[in-house]
Amino acid sequence: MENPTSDGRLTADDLALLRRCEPILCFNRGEQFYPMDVDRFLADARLCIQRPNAEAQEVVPRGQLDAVALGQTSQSAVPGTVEFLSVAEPLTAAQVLAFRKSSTLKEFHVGPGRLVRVGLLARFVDLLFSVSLLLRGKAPGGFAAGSAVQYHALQAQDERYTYYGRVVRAHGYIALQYWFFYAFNDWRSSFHGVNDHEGDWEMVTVYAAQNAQGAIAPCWIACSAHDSDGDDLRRRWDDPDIEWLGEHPIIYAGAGSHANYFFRGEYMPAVVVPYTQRLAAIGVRLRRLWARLGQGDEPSEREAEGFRIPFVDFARGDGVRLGPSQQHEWDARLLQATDYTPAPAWVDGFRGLWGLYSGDPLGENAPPGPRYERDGLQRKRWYDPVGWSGLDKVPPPNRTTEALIEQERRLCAEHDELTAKIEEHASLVSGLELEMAAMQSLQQAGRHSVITQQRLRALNADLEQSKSARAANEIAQERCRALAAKVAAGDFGDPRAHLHRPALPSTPADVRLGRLAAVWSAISIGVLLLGVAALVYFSGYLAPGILVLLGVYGFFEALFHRDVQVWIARLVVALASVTALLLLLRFFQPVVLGVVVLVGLFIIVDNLREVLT
Amino acid sequence: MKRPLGVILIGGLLLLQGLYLVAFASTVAYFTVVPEGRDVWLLRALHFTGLAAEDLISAALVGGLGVFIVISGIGILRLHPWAWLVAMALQGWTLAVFLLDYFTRGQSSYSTALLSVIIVFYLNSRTIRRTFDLVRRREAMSAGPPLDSRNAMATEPEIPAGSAKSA
Repeated sequence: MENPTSDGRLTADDLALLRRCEPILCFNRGEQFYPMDVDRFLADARLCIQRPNAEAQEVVPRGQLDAVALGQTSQSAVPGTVEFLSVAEPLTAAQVLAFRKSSTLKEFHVGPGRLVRVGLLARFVDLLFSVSLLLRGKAPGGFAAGSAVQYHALQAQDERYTYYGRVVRAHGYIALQYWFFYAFNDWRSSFHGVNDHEGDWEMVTVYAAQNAQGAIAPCWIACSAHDSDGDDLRRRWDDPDIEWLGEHPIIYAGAGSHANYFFRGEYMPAVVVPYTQRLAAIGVRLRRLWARLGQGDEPSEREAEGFRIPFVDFARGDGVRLGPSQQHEWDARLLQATDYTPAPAWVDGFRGLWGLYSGDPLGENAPPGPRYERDGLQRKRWYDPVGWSGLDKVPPPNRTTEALIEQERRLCAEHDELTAKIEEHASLVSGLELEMAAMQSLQQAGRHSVITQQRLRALNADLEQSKSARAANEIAQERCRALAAKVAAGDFGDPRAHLHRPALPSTPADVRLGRLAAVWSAISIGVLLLGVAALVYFSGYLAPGILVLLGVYGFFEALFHRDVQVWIARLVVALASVTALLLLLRFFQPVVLGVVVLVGLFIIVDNLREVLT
Repeated sequence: MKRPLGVILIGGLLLLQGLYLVAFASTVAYFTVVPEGRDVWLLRALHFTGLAAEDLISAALVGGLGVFIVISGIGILRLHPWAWLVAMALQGWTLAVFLLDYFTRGQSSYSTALLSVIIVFYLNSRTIRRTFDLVRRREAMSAGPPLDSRNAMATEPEIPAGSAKSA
């Protein structure tokens, strides 16, 4: 890797390229926080330290912190110690109410909301998740509003929208990183999302490389979205779904979460509920067994990661747009040094959190800076920006033909090796065949003949395998040549071929679920609990009553999600399973006897068949 | 697509069952209308799928159910996806009646229940669902519409008016 840290100096060409491919960020109506410069954030921040089993202590008071001082803070040697910044002051309930009435938050309309789009079980777990906020450490109430008031005051003084640029050359690509710092992530309190936390770092990377004509041009783009990585994060420049304005990609930021998406719409990222991995793994094992019996579908690997609660991330793009030729243009800053300016000291020097540390294990703590993870190690997107989006497997356009020629050369060498091996084995096989023929007339050759036959069988199998591998190799060579010809003609194939589970917005059908469904979703869990309470109090048939109640609920859920067929099938299979269990218990002895008789008959028939043949 | 043997068997069984119910209901109706037929004790003892065919209304219900089963049997034989659902629903009804009887009266028709269990698991198997084109339809439903139409759902974002600010 040619430029892995902030030590590499940026050239004028790098800066020009950064400006040339600046993204356009589209926000929702009602968004409270936009990308800002860290200097103004730090001017109002205090630096604190949280040691294990102790109260947080202020290390640097408000007004004495700047970018240089932050970069020079010393890392605590005590394990478990967390350094963090703190800026926002929480508002009182009355102040929050006044803020909501006067702010642009009222321009945001939630629509059918997430509850209507997720299942009953997910809603129930979500209820527990929300209740757990009372027990967990979290960003205090009124904190988001407090931060918004402070941010708006700063913007009123000097309106600025900032990104921090970084350029890394690796694997033949020039990764142009655009980092965005937000004063607050108010996804939970303002947009019904998962979490709130002070400070938020998000990023968009444009990958440029030399094209066939030798000119540098953008060829891929990747967005940070909820800590994911891999192939699904990136899109190719010629993907018809991606929107561009000249060479500026158009990106949609999630309301409050500031996660970046390629398409406008409403996304449903799922959050894995902690401590549910074991339960999910048992469920997956049972479903695999069920699938092996020919019933149901094979569960995916993701399902074993834990129980997931879907949340809606609104990236409608109907609000403010930032970027070239938009309402507000970028104030560009750098994370690396140039010949004239040093790199900001905090990039390498500050490993703490860029906002309040609430002690919550589930996402209400502020994030660390662009370079570091919470454990102090480097982020993958920082030390390997090309590998972060899985692009290290893909040669840049100008090197694709070269890579194909190289692969064809490897295949040729492998072909030669296989041919030599085939000739050698064919010669051995014919020698052994002749040896067998020669030994046939000898009466004492029994044992030798058996050994020779075994060798012959093994060699023949090996020979067939080599021939098959050589045939496949020839096809691969032909395909490589054909692909090289296509690439030379400028055809790089399907731009979406690398995608497995890309983040896509909800379908229009989901978004337009009826008002009745929305009302049902809002009240269903509460009514279910009331129903259970009524059953406990009034009815002697608690278990059957709960089952019937859940069945009725399932039916309504299925009706609203247009999934009645699946509901009927599941209900009938459940009834059949219970019946099968009852029959097994009722006729246990005859069933066991029947199985023993069947096994006995099978063994007799099988053995007799062997004896008779 | 080739019709599996099990599907032919289930389709045939449903046809037989449906025709039997229609014939049974017609007989009951006939004897109910004819005054001396009301005393045929055998009719009171006969129960099928939870409906006692003792009077005209019950007979009509059983007859209707029979027609329904005949239609689903024909659908099953012609591999229609809706027939798969109807057949499953009918087996669900049978099983629900069995379980209700079992838990309230302590006894029920075990042979009918066993047959229903076998039919349900057979119809629910991946191979049969694929035969009825249900797997592909389900996958298509979960994949949602093509991306172009997803994008079409959002309104064109408006660029708020205001002066451009240089960097």
